[in-house]
Amino acid sequence: MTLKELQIGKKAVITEVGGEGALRQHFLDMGVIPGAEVKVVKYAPLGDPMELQLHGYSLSLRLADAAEITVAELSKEDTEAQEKPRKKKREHPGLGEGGRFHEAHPEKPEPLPDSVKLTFALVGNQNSGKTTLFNRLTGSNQHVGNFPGVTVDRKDGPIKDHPNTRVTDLPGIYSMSPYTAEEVVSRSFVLDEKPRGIINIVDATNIERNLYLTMQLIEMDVPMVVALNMMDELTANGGSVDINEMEAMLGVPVVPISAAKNSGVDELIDHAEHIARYQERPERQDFCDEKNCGGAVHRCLHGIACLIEDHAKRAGLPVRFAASKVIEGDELVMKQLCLEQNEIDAVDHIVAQMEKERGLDRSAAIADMRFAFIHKVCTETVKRPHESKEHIRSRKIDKVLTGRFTAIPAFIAIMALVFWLTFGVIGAGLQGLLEAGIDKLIALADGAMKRAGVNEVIHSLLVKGIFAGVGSVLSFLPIIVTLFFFLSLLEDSGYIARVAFFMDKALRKIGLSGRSIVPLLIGFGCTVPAVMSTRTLPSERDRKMTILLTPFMSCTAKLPIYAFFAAAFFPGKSAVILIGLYLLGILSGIFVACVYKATVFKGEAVPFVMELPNYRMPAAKNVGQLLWDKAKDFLQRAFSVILIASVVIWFLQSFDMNLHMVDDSEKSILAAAAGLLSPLLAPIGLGDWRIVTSLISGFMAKESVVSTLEVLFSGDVGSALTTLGAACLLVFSLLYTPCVAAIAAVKRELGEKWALTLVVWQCVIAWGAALAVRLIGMAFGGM
Amino acid sequence: MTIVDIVLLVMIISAVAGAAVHCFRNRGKCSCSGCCGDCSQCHGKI
Repeated sequence: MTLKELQIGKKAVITEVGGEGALRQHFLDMGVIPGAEVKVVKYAPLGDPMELQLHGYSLSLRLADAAEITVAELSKEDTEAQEKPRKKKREHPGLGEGGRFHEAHPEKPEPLPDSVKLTFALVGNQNSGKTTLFNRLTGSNQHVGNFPGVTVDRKDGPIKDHPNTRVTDLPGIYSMSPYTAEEVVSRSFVLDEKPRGIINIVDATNIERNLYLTMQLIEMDVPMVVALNMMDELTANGGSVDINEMEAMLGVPVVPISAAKNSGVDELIDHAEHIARYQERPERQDFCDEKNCGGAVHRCLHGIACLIEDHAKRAGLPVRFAASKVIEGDELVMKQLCLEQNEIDAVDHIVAQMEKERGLDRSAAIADMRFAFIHKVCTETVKRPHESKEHIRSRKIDKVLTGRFTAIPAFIAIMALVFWLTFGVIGAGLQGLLEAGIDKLIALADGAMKRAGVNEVIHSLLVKGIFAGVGSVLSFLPIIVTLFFFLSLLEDSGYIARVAFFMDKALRKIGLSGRSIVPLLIGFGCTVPAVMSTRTLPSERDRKMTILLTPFMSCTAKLPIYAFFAAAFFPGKSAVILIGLYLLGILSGIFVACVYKATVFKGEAVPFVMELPNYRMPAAKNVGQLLWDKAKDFLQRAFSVILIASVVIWFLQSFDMNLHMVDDSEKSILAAAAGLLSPLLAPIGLGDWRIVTSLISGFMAKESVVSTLEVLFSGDVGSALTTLGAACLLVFSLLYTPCVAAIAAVKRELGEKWALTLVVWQCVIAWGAALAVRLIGMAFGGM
Repeated sequence: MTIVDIVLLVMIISAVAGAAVHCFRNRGKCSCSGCCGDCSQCHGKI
C-alpha cells in the first residue's frame, strides 16, 4: 500500500520511496527513508496535504507525493519499545578542551596566533534556535520566529567580549543537498569561505533528524562543535542524553545548552574557540558500517573516495563529502570535480554494484547509511522524552485551529479580529489621541510664531510644509505598531506554519504552494521583508510568482492613505472601508495569480513539504524588540524621507518658475510639472495636479501621499475630490506601484527587467481597477 | 529678518541637512527591519 492510503492514527514502515530528482532527495534528507516508521496524524481541512509523525517530529506532505511512497502497515502489537540508553560510564573524551585530550595527542598542530580572526558558521536545521543562539553569542537583537525559514539571509557579528571573532548565522537547512536557495547559500559558505569552525546547533527534542545534517557537516572536515539546544525542554519531559558517549561516537565536542535560557552558552563559546584556535577537526568521518548489509555502501564509499581523491583535492572539496555527493549524483559537485569519462564510468559501475547488493537506489542507500548510524547513536545515548507538554498543548490547539471544519472559519475569525482591533479599536483609538496631541502642538507653535512676528515664508514652510507633512504621517504610528504587534504574535506562536499547511490546497488552485502564504502574510506588514522571505521557496517559478503577488497584500505604509481618505469622505465607516480595501487587494491578487498561472507561469507549484513546529508562547522581549524596530524605522522615515519630501513639495508649490512666492499654487512649479501627467489620470477622476503630485511622491514612500496632500490642500482635500473620486483614489493607491524600497528588493531578487515590468504592470492594473470603480459608481449616479 | 527668523531658519536647514545625510548614509541599507540583501553586511554575498 502507499502512504496516501494509510488511515489517520495508523502506523506503518516505509518500504520504498518513489519519485525523482531534488524533491526525492529532499524527502530522503527529511528522514523519509525505507525502514522509517510513520504515523498519519491528520489531513488538512481541504483534504490535502497530510500531517505525519516521523522520527519524532511533524511533517506535512501532499497526497500526490504520499502516493509515491510505499509502506507496510504495522499492527497494534508492533508498538515501539522504549529504547533506553545503555548505561556506560565513559569518561568525558575531552574534545574541544585542553588537558587530557591534548596530552594524549602531542601531534596536534600549534594553535593559530591570536591575531588570526576566528570565524564560525552557525549551521542547523530550520527552527532549531539558531538565531536565538546567534543573539546570545553576539548580544544582537536579530528577529526570531516560530516557523521554518525565518532567517533567509546570512548575518554576521563578533562573539560578545571576544573581539577577534565572527559568527555567521546561516539560513536553516536540513541537509547539504542543494534543494532550496538557502541550502545553496549555507553549503557555499562552508565550502568557499572556509570558516575556522562550525557551530552546529542540534534540537535535542528532535535529535534524529537534526543529526542527519551533523553527519554531513562532519564530512566537510572543518573543526566543529555540536550545540545540543533545548536541553531544558528535553529533560523537563523525562528525556536525557549521555553527552560523553555521544561525543565519543561523533568525534566532535558536544555541549548541552539552552539558548533561550542562556545556559551552557559560555561553555559552548570556550569549546568553539578551542577547536578553531587548535584547528581540531572531527575525530572520525567514516560512519559506514562494513558489517551493515554486507558492507555494500561502505565499500562503495571508500572505493569512490580513492577514485576521486585527487580531483577532490584539486577542487578544494573534502574527499569524504565529495564521495558521498558523487554517489547521491549531486550535479554541482560532479561539475566541480571535473572527472574524466573513464572515471565517471567507473563511478557508475561501483554505484550500480552497490545498488544491486544493497537493494536500494544510490540516494536512499546513502540516506539509509546515515540514519542507521544515527539510530545507533540515539540507541546508545538518548533516552527519549515522553510526549512534551508543548506537543500535547499543540495537539489540543490544532484540533480547533487546523480541524477539518474549524480551520478556515478560525483563520477568517482571527484575521478579522486582528484587523478590527487594529483599525477599529486599539490602533484607531490611539491614533485619535496622537492626532489630537499633534494638532494641539501645531496650533501652539503656530500661535507662538504669529505672536513673535516670524517671517511669512518661514512660517508657511514650518506650518504648511514641515508640521503638516510630518505631523500627518506621525499620527499613524499607533495603527502600524498595532498591526505589526498582531502579525508578530501570529508568527511567533507558530500559527503561520499551520496556515501554510491548511491553505496549500486552496493556493494550489491559483498556482501557488502553501509555503507562499508566509511571504504573503508578511506583505501585510512590509513588502521588502516579504520579498526577501520568498527565498525559502524551493522553486524559482513559485518564488517569482509569489514576489509578483506580494504588492497586492496592502502594506502598513498604505494605511495612512486609507485612514486619511476614509475619515474625510466616509466618516463613521472607516473600519469597513479599510477592511474592504484589504479584501479587494487579496481578491485582485487571486485574480492576477490565475492570470499568471494561465499565461506567464504555466505549470504546477512544487510539492509542499514543511515541518510544523509546536505552538509556543511568543516571548515578550522578542515581540517588544520587533515593535521597537518597526516604530524606530517608521519614525526615522518620518523625520528623514517624509521631512525632505514635505519641504520639497512645499517649495515647489509655493514658488513659480521665477522663484517668486505665489499666492495661488495653480501658478507654482509643481502645478506646471504635475499638469503634464494629469491627462493620464483624468479618466479615473484623479486629474487634479495636486493628486497627481501626491501619487508620484508615494513612489518614494507611501506615507508621503498623505503628507503631500496635507501640504498641498492645507487640510481641505474635500474641495478637490468627490466621494467617488476618493474611492477611485483609494483603489488606485491600493494597487499602483510599490514604493522604491520594495522595487529595489524585487530588482535584487529577480533583476531589473522584472522590477520595471512590475512597476508598469501594477500601474496598469491600478488604473484599470480605478476606472472600473469610476464607471460603476457613475452608473449608480455617483459623481 | 529678526533673530527668531534666523534661529528658525538655521534649525530648518540643520534638520533638512541631517535628514539628507541620514538618507545618503543609509542608501541601499536594510529597511523595515528586514535585511535587503544589499547592505554592507551582505552585499554581493548572496
